[in-house]
Amino acid sequence: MGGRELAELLAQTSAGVRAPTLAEAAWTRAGRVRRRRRILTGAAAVAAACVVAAGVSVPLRAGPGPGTAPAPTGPTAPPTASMDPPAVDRMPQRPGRRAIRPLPTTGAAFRPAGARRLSQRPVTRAVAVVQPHGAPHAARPEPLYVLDTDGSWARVDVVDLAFTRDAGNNKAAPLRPTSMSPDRRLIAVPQTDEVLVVDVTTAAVHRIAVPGFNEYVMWRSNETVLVAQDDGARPRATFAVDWRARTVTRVAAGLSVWDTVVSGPDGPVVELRGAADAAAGGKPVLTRWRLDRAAPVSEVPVDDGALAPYGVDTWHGPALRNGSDGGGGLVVRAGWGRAPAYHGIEVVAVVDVHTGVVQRLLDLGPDRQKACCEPLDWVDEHTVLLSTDREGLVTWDVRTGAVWVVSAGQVPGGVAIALR
Amino acid sequence: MRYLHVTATPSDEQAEYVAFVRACQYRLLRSAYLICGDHHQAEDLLQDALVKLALRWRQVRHGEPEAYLRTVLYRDAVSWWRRRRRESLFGAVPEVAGADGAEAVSDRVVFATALARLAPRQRAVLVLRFFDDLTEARTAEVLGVSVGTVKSQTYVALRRLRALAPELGELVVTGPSAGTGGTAGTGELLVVAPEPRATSEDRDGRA
Repeated sequence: MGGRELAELLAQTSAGVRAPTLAEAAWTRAGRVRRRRRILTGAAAVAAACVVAAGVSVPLRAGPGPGTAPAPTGPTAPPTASMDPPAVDRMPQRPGRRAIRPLPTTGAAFRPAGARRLSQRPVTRAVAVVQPHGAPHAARPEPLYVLDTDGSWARVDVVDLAFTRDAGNNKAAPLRPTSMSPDRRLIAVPQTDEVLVVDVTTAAVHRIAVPGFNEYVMWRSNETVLVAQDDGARPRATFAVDWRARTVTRVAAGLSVWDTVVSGPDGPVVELRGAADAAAGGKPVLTRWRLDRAAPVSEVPVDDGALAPYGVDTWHGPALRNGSDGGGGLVVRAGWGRAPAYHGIEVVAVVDVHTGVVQRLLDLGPDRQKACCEPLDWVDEHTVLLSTDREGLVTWDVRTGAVWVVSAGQVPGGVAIALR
Repeated sequence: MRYLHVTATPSDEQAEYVAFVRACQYRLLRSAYLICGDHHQAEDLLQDALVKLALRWRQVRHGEPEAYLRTVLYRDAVSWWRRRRRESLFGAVPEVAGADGAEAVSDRVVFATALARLAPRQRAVLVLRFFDDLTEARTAEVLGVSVGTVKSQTYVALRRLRALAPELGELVVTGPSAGTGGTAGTGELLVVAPEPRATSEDRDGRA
């Protein structure tokens, strides 16, 4: 069979589609979107004017007048990291180099040869975990390799891993960018019907039964890992697994762990979702949850207006926060966005977790692979470590916009990194 | 010299837009249907892409609006499927008619069932290459991937189609001297080089 026969089969398969009449409706809908945007812009300007007016009038008031209710003394918004006005950075053509020990200086070195066995000598603390890409159609994924603080590698030989699967029988290698525990001792790996927790400092493996298509893991604390399933149901089922007590609790919150970032055992749970209807002017949303409540605590639209014509429509990859509520207040995530010259670019954006304002955006430029890049860790309060398809591992300073290459060339596998 | 500036009025723009969309909407809807396998979903995807086009009509109308529209449509389709990762498995592939010919199953049905079982990006690559008749380079541009990824996805998709529907005949012939992917719409034999370097998505069988 040749290309012509394949083209004919495709034509026959779609022959039952009726000719649509969408042109006028689409133009009308676009008009509504334009009007809504104008209204929102006007409302934002009015709101900003009110804020400015209020700010000016407050010093003029000597104090509360008679009968004025005292100011509420409830919890105030925590301080946000000091940021300059929102700005856009572009990935430089040739970024400079910087080293972050013990990360390798090349991406290729993340496929270690001659690594010792973990059972032979465990590691002190994990800095990175990598799972190299395997051969096409291999029955099992490659093993995990752990980078120790001294720069040596250990192969996790204490467990045989399988691919994760969802209800549609899609499979994936099981290491997630969020697999490492905060104390860098534990690696959580989703498997169908169970979750594995590997203590890399003792080479012990803990298996906790969680029936279902477990697909994603994220540490809430050093004891609790959130496990998300994809069995086709909406919302997706999420469980809180205490690996030490071996308890599994269904999470009431209707969140998607794929879009979620947590900040410590008692910190808030924040979800950064893409626009439900970007074409109709919908905005990404930043939602706060409590795990024991089905309804969200609060919700604010992500505000990228100050960056126009740049913007973000959808997100992908992990969302990472630069500290708890008492400290940093920034979430970084990769996404799909807009640029002046064209629609549809890969970006990385930093969002203020309290206001939803996009504070900084990195334009990765055209001709990237889809979902090419994602954040892996915060090096410090204002510097993100990113994985990219061309440069390799880079750092991006969200205050200055400076980009430096740490490990040159794409890492040939899945990777999780925790530097702090 | 005096220059005459001609500015299109909104009604001109609308008329232009409507004429353009009327000319290409049927073809694009069929493409969307081939990717997502659902009439309603295909219309939703195309409708969203048309709204985005209308919002940027002033900027793209003198460029390549169809290329812009196709890019938005395909990327949205693949993203939609990726977000939901809800590969529809259409039950078992219909059995081929037995030797007695008691139950004939048309090639089209077998093909549609096999196509539905490919990963979204694999379907998108096949549709762009062989239904929309785009080159590998243009397919890569539309999907925002490298040409190498297009080649590898084409290879994997054709091989999987052959495995899922062997009764359709040889979709792929591997040959040591071949150097390029198939030639769309020419009727030539599809020849795919020895397996190209696969991406992680190829390995995962997921687009």
